[in-house]
Amino acid sequence: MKKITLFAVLFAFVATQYACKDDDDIVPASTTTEVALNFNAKYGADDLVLNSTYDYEGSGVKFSNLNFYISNVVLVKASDTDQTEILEIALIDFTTADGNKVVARNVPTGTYSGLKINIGVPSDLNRLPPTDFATTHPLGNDSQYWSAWDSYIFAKIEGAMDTLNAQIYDHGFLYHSGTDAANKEISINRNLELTADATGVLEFDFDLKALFNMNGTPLNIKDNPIVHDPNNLTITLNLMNNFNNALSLQ
Amino acid sequence: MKSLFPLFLLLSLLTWTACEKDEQVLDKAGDLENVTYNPEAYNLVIPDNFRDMVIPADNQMTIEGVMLGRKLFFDPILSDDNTMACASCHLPSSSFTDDLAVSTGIDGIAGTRSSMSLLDVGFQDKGLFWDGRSTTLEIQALIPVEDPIELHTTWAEAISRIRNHPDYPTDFRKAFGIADRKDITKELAAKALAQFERSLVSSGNSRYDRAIRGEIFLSPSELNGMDMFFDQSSVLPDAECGHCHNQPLFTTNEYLNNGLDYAADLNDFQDKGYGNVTGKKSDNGKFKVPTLRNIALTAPYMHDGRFATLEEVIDHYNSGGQYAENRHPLIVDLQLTEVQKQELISFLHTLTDTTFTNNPNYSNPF
Repeated sequence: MKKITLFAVLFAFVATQYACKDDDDIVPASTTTEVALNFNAKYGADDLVLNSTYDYEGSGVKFSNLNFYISNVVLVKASDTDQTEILEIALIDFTTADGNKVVARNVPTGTYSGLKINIGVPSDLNRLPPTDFATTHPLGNDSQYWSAWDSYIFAKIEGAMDTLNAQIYDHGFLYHSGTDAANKEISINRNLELTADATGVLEFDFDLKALFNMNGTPLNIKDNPIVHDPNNLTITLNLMNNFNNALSLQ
Repeated sequence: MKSLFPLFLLLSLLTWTACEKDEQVLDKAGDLENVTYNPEAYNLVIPDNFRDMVIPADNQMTIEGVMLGRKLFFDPILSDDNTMACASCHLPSSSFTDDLAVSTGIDGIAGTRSSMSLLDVGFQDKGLFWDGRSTTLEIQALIPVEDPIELHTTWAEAISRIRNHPDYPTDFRKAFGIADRKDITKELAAKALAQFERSLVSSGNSRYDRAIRGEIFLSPSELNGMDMFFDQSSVLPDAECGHCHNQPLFTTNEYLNNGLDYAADLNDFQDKGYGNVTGKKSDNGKFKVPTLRNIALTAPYMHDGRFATLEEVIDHYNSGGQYAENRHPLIVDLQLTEVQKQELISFLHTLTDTTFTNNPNYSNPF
């Protein structure tokens, strides 16, 4: 009896091992891939390099800080109701190496007709302070939160202007956007074919010059150098709306 | 005289034997194995509105590790002439600063930077020192020992002293489980120091903390100061403080130029600060934004201690500071009245945390 039991256990063990091996050998065809979203800062037709000089309505201008949140990035199939979220949130930060790039993982392969991107932080996440997140999380950065708004700073644009054309950049400016109302969803129509054997790459141009267009007139930086007032969102909302024109897919 | 010879011989023999015995102890592998190694996890108490501290996986805090770090922190054994310790420039009563404009080392040579508060130093996630040149506390702790204008010794000398100390080898065994005293290294000493430094956390009992929990009311002057600090009032001016000194840590840990020095060209800064670390001209003249918790206890102020009082600090910010093209855009002429400046200072005093400075666990253990 003992021999039979021992044989049965041994057989079961060997059978299990083979069964596991067979499972390992069967690799199902991958149905997901990665999508890289790269954002290239531009100033009109030129590449934008932080702390370099550009012309703004006849005055020299240098941008020193530039970032914005993207969130709820979804791929859209032909029927607009069929949407797949590929990225919850990321901070696109042009001040750090590779801060302008983010990779979405486990993206279902297939054919898509476009994508939607929210610029800002969705209201459910916007209720949570940075201390609720690890410092490595996009929302864990204390400097991207503004207590007076109880909101993340959705976009930061900072720099200095040479208002006297004297090579003296003494007119600092700062545009910080935030609060739920400032969220801006952008839709981009583009046929995208994502396959398992290659990483999808989406190259975006972000034109800062286009962002400063206030209904056909360039924002008067000299007269409006500091904008971070939650009680006066006129310029903030205009800037956020302009992401629609400033952001384009190559 | 001849009669003394046997005595001399005996003394020499005894001395030689004693020396040999010490060497044997030092050379003996596993000389600490009879000491129990059973470290107990350190319970790091953090205020509810703080985030969790990021602690390296290879240096988890233990009661034994923190205690060893505390002893090393207060022990002048780490200085060349045994006169100064870490605590010489980081006094608990001054929120771990030293009340001086710039710190002076064992040779009496004054440095160029002011001692930084170590309050909540474990939450500094963007580098340490005024210029961010160390990425972790473990790396930072290695530097002052060999700095010629600080403790000015060598780690080889310091470790030799520690290995031959009557207590430290056992302490290292209890903290890190080393088998013998030869395993004591500067890296382990730095780990212990880092553990102690991570234990230096706000108590959450400042007047500000108690007020936001609804336990006390701030005075009208303090409330006005807070409203201006955080731009929470539609009537009072925005003092633009809270952007860079955001709660709960009252710092964003960034490196910024707050307009202290005029620089026609960014290469003109005498102390380039963060720019020396990043190598970027645009970072010249930038320094770490320090925490304002316990700011009333940490005079003089700024990286070089140029301002003796909070009044001088507020006057500086109210003026809009000195020109440099990378001066932060929020360093502007605030046009605060004298009353408003005093209200800001009143609010800053609500950040004083004497429960922290009087914590017996942070005091000199000797």
